Amino acid sequence: MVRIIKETKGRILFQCINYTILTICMIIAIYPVLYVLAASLSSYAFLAQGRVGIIPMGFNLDAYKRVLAYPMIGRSYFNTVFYTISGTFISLLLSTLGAYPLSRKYFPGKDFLTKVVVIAMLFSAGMIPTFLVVRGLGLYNTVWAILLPTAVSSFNLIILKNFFEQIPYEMEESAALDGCNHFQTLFIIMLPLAVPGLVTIGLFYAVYQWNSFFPAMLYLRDRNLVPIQIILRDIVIQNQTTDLAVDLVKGSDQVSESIRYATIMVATIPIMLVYPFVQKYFISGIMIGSVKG
Amino acid sequence: MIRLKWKRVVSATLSVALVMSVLAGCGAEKNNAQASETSSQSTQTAGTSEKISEEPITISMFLQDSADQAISLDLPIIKEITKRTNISFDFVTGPSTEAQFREKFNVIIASGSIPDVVISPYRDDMLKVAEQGIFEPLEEHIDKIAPNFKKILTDDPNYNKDLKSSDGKDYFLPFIGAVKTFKVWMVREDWLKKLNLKTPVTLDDWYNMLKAFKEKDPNGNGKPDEIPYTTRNTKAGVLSFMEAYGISGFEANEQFFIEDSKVKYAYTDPRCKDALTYISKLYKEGLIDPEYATNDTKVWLSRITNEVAGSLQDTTARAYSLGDQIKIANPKSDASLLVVAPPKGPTGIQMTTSQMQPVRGLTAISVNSKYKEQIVKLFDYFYSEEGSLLMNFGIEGETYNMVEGKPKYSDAIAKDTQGRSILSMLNVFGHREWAYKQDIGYENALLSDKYVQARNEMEKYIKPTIPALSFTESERDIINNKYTEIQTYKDEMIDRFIMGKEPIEKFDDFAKKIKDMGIEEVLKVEQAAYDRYNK
Amino acid sequence: MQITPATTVAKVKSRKKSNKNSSKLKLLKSNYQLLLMFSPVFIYFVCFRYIPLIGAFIISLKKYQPALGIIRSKWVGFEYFHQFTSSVFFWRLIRNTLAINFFQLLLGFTAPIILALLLHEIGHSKFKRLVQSVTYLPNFISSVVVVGIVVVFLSPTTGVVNSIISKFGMEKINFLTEPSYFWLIYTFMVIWQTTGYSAIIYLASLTGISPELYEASKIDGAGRWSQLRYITLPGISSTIVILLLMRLGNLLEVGYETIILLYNPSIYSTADVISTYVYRRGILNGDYSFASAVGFFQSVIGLLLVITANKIAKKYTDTSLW
Repeated sequence: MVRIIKETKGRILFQCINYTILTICMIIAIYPVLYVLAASLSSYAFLAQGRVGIIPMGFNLDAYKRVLAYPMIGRSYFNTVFYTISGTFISLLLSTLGAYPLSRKYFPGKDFLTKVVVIAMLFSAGMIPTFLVVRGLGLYNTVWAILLPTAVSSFNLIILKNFFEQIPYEMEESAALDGCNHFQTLFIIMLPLAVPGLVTIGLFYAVYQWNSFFPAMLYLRDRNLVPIQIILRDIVIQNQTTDLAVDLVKGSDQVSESIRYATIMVATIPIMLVYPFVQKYFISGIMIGSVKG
Repeated sequence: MIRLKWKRVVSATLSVALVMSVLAGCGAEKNNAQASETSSQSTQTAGTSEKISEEPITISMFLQDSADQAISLDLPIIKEITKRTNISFDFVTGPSTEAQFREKFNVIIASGSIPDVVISPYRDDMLKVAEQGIFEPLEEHIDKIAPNFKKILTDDPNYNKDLKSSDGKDYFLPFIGAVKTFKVWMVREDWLKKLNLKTPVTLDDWYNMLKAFKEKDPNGNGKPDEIPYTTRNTKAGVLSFMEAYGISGFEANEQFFIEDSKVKYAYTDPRCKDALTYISKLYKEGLIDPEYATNDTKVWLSRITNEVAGSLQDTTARAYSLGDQIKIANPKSDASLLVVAPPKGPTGIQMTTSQMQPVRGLTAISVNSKYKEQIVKLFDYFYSEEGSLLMNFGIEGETYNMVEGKPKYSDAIAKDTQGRSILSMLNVFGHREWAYKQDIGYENALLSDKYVQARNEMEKYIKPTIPALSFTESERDIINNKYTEIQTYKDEMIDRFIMGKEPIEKFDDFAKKIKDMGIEEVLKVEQAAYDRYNK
Repeated sequence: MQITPATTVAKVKSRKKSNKNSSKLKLLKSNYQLLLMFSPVFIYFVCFRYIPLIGAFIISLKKYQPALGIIRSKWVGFEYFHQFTSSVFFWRLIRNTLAINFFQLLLGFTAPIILALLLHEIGHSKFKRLVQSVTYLPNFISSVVVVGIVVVFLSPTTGVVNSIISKFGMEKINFLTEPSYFWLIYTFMVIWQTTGYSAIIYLASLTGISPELYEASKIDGAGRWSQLRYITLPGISSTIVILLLMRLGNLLEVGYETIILLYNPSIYSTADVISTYVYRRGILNGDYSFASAVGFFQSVIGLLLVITANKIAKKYTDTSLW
């Protein structure tokens, strides 16, 4: 009896501390976001003096109006969404096809191919060789130059492999006994059980694709194919460079501050909102749990 | 079950995107409507020039884009160019940040398919490529079919020197700036008046003035928060005091300077020690911004608009506009910035090497282009009077009007409702810094009369700086190998000297170490290039 | 009967009671299917990773000039490797890179784990989802902005940190010009930006632990700490080991973008890392071969570290990369 009471008291104390710590984490984490948001809604005079904290001063929507009126923004937004969705789909498909075999202990190529994947992660070829390959394959100035070269991340693939390895072997065995071949086992049985893993790397891929700038800068010539990062990134970086010759010669830009922040908001809000949507997939794998026991 | 939820995610994101596109579309349509309305009203330009190309042709062009407006064939100035010359364009753009632009430039070159025209402000990149035979040598073309540019070269033979590569050939058509004065010293005029100070002339005057700024509370708020001298140019902004001692070396290409026809390195020079003594004293007494090393434009601007900064060195355009910016932030202020001559050093030297090189921005033509002649003629047109008007001022009736025989920017350009600068607005209309000669009218339009005068007065203090040199491959190898190391060490130590972390007595050790690191070899190479330049 | 996860679970549960020998033979015979499955991925790696890598390796052995192309550029052998390793700053750059990564491992690697565990203790609630959603946001605010915030925070003239310090009667510190603070400043900045985001992997991993285990342990009288030690941590141990192994491969790499924004010459002694040095040389001179050579150097060392760590992991734990 005493033990239970002690435990409850300890538990309550623990939970209090826990909640406090997590709340502090939240406040620290949200600060930069509020800062950018406030700055994007503030007027020039207050921003110049550095007087804007997390509350907008001199509230106005001018910066957003400017950014949203930027030519090509609608089209490039569409492009970004397209690249993100299709890119993530391709990445997930390839990652699944890659991670599953590597997660099967009896697979003869397991060790060698895992090394192939990991070594690729450790070495980076750099821009020019990759560019030459992409061009050589005829992908220059096509959407495939955006979707293919970065389709598989070794890191994500290994993570997914790890998730597959945690699914009990009996599941596969049972499916095989029912006459499933490997493809069927993978897509019908294993995938649903690996949902948290898939959602995790799907999110990582989506974020990466959304923020991606370099491939588009290098491979795309046709302005109609360009994603939003290309259009807006220059605005954000401007004035931050140490290349003063650019600023000093080209004259001052008085409206830059709030525009920069509005740009960041416009470019990132959609992807920031994705996570709450996918959180629901992080519930305990009821099925796995009940098998493991 | 999973599929259903996925659909929801997709539809949610798509609807966000759709909303954004609609909002954006509305705005963009308005902009386009404005532009096309005005262009249909523009008056007929004196188009007596026969079209450069008999048939409409399209040339591909690689250039640095402007963050103000992405370049496209729809922009008024571009349309006008096509109308007058029958030449249309296929633009390949690079980002406006240096590092990425240069990466893309290299990638384009590496790809092997070079656009007809390549424009870059980064001289060394262009030279490296030119000498490999990628670009067409231009002397013969200029001689035969570019009378306007030829005239400019005969009037100013110095430009030839700036254009020649290390193999003696000329591959470039330049953008030529109109004004030499780049950065000027400026001081809060009203603070001088308030504290009854005279305009500072010598280094001692500066010291006393800065001390007064620090101690006598000129911004009147009762707090000792003044920062007498500030900068956003990190170390370079603070080392400008070095010039009073007769040496310079703080801008990227000015690590070396010329004296008696010899290339010298500023940081091993004994005068540098004296300069550092002075500067570190200023730092120690809090007369220089303690955060000079980390300031970016944003922090620097807040120093100024919060009225804690008393003096700085920056462009004339800023001298003009900062006064207004302070007043916007603080309507009761009578801030204005007075342009002041460079400080006079102990030996009477009063100079600045801060200047804009006249030749900036290089245009080159691919050796494989089918349209070499037309391209040369096109850019020669930009050097002509009519073309120059187009490149500097834009389209009559739209971006400028003739007032008393001189072009004056229209309100659309000069008085943008969103407060954008003249250059930004010109960029919006399609102006780009291609090969042409800048008209002083443009520079003057950026300033009020008071500042135009100040700018012109400062010109007499400008001492020639080391020109932009062309290096051979082996020369570059030496620089590549040694110079980053030397510069890393130098940058670190100079900051430490200024901040007092390293006593000035150690300067001689520092100079010796740099010699050991191989500065002499680098100097030899620079000297060779300089001698070649002067031939 | 249709084959679904639910029916398969049911079958497995019922089969557990019997002692049937698995048809491993059957599975082995159809391995070609797995090879087929992997093939598109293999093609991807060859095309987009390994072929460019060969090109990059050749570039590091030549004096590459874009105008000449890879083939016509001159061979220089290990010249650039040698230039790098004989640089005056070679050891300093390595030390700084390792030091920053050490702090990142110590604090940055563990922070997301702790966050995930704390969240795990909350159980399913709106608060948990709120915290998760919020902590993952800083990842999206560009470094340019975060550095700007940090600089203002630490400013000796206007910064919050220094005004607190001076209230305690101590002298103000110009943090960004004192070399000794850089490693911590940078590490905390990275933690701020990435912890919430990185915690996602662990949260996903935690969902794989059966709730029945917790229930069973409670009945056996286990307290929170025991549960942590014997159920939770083992449950995510494989994830931790795998991530740690992969992390070690990057031990000689620290991205330059953020450091460039944050550093200045007065703190080069601790802030200058391999990538920033290469960046300065690369940008000043367009020196591809140098950058390529150094990149290989970093990767080879990273590979050796991973191979060694993998052997250790294999020996002492159940998890390893291969």
